[in-house]
Amino acid sequence: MNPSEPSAHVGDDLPALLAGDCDRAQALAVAAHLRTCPLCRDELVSVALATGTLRAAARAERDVLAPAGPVSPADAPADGPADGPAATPDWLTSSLRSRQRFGGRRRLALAAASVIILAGAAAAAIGLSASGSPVVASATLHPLQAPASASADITVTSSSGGRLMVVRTYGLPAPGGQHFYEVWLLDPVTLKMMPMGTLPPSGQASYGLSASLMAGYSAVDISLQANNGNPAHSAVSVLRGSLAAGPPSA
Amino acid sequence: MSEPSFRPVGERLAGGDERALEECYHLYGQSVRSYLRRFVPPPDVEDVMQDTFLDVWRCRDQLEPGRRFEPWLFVIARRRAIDALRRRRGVVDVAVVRDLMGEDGNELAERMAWAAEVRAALTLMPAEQREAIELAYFGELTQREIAERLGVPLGTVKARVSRGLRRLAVLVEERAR
Repeated sequence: MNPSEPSAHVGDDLPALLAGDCDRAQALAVAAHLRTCPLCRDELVSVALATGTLRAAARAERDVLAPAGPVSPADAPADGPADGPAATPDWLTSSLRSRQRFGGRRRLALAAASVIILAGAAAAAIGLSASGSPVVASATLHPLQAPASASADITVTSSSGGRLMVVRTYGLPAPGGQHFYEVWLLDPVTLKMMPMGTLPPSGQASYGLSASLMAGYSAVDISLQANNGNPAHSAVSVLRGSLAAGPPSA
Repeated sequence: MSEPSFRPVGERLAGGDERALEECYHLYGQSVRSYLRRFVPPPDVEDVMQDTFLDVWRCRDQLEPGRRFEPWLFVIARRRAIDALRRRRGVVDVAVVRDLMGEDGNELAERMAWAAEVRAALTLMPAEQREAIELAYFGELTQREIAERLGVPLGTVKARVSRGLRRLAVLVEERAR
């Protein structure tokens, strides 16, 4: 609020006040108004409830990210999920059709069949051959400026002398009306970057380029870009990870 | 998939609505997966996810009217995680077992249930409000930093956050009635 306007309602200033995101004069001005305005005091209750709720949720998510104990080396690497909330897994709909719980080998067999089905569907969607092309590199992207649960899987296949890079993201929030996500190849040593293209709302895309161009990059980055006509990287990297030779580890 | 409906997903599950299970997975799957990853070895996480959501469907009759859905979901996830550790061959870290099975484990499951409820509520907000709130409270950005990132005036961010918080408070209180 403008401290020179003590009568103005301060609803929009309450979140910053509760977050400590204001200076002394602003805090005192908001407090002075609150003492005289029942409407804004009532709003303060709502904002305080929501703020406390969000802070508790954020703390729970942070706590759950801290490993409770060491993971056996045999279990590493901790790759991202084979599916994410953006796509309904086949086992979910299969369970509805069959109306029974699958146990032991049957459940595993169903899961394996689901993976095959999903992989086939994904391959068809992105134009891979039915026989499959050799995977020459892969990566799991981890969140930088994205929700902790966000991730992406990258698979690079050899295709007609070139390379086809398939990107599948999980848990990325909608970028907002005037923003979009863009996929980049990155050389972490020189910080040289090559834009591969925008990421469609589905969160999945494939990009083609020559093998020689690809050779100069060893990491993949996904940025949040403003729709302002500036083609440069925004410096807001949401996901990033290093490419490793061959398919993802099981 | 149909648009998510925050309030009645548990009720519709109890009523045998198959779409509600799919909606449940989309709303809560990522939160459940994050929770399981803390305790379950990575190769087993997807199996335990599957066990959890199949149990949600199998046990939907237990969802009595008025019972909060998210704590019930995380009770199931916690039980399936415990089952997975019991099945696990070899040494399981004592800290993992203690944090999962003890009173602390119960508390963390309840807190994650609340966090999942909040995340689900956020999906009901206009995208601009949700984005500003997520950046502020989960991304820990100041309002000025959010304004710079989104390329909008500071006042716009203030208004989006404020309106989003008021909406969230209404949703939280509605669910408690």
